[in-house]
Amino acid sequence: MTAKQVLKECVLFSGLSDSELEKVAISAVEKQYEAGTTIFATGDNADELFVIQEGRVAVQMTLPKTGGQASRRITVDVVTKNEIAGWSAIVEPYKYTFTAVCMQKTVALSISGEKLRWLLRDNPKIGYDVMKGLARVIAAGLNDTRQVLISERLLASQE
Amino acid sequence: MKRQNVRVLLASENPEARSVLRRIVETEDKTVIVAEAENGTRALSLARSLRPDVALIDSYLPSIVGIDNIPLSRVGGLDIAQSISEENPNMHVVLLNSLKGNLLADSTRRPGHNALLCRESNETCIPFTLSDLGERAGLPGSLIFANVETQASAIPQQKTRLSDKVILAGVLGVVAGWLMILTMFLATIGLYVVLAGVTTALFGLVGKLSKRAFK
Repeated sequence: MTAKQVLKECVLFSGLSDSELEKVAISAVEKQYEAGTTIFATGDNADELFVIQEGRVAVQMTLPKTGGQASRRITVDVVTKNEIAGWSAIVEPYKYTFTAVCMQKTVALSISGEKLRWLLRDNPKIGYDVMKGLARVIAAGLNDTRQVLISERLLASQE
Repeated sequence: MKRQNVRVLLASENPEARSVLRRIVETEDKTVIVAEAENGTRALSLARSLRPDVALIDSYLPSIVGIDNIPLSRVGGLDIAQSISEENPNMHVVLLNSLKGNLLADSTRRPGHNALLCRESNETCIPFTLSDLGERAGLPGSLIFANVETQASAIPQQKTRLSDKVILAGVLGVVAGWLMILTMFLATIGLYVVLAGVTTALFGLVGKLSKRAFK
């Protein structure tokens, strides 16, 4: 599968034409990770955006130490085929806000954050379509979070 | 020096998955299950209190019971595996990825097939046993990302094949016997029909001849 085909299947880039996809694909390279590999960690510079081609990647948040308890990592999302990880690469301040850990062997298309930002800035049509796709991704994540919040509140009220 | 049993903790929300894990542990020598957990909170608590040598954790593991219908709550296996591994530096924690769907059907229902643990490496899956991990007792523990695969087991499969052949031979014998009985029954009926025909023909012939004689 070519980089262009992978991008076309991804919700973030699905609104782009073939010629626009080719412009994005120029900045993309395929990478492979073993299970257990940390692709990026919270606070790192968001230099790359990843489109997952194979495997499962856990997106984790670190809870700080509280009252004698050690810090804990909590999985807030699991990214799979055709989904993206590391959208901080196109959102200021370009620092990852989560940690991404491969739960199994993973193949991902890595897109250079810097080159993608330049492309979005120089081509407003591409910029608009990609940001529209990003809004959909973030909205879906927010909806999942709300569902968890609601069920945990319901659970708490039953106890 | 006599090697001690490898003490194992199992954790999965799915009873069938726990059954597969139990079978994996029980097929090995020198392994013993010290506890089973159906959610992450209990797994963490049991790991703290019992300090097993190995913890087998399903990646689909809700933190607590009660919010199971929310997909995000079901993926706590990694979090629990990381917490157990960090709290118990000498424990080997195995996070299992593929304990679902067809695998469960295969490994629990197909005779002559065993489930085994393996870790991914490039394109292959390298099998390992809990005893392998037990032999590293005293060394720092590790968090291992593994899969559960099914493999045809040679000896039970041969036994199954033999018994299948015996059953097949028996069934064929019964069918052949019935066919023979049916054939004999039909042959007997056929004989009577032939005799009846011959008798009728003879009566007819006798009648015809007597008519000619008395003309």
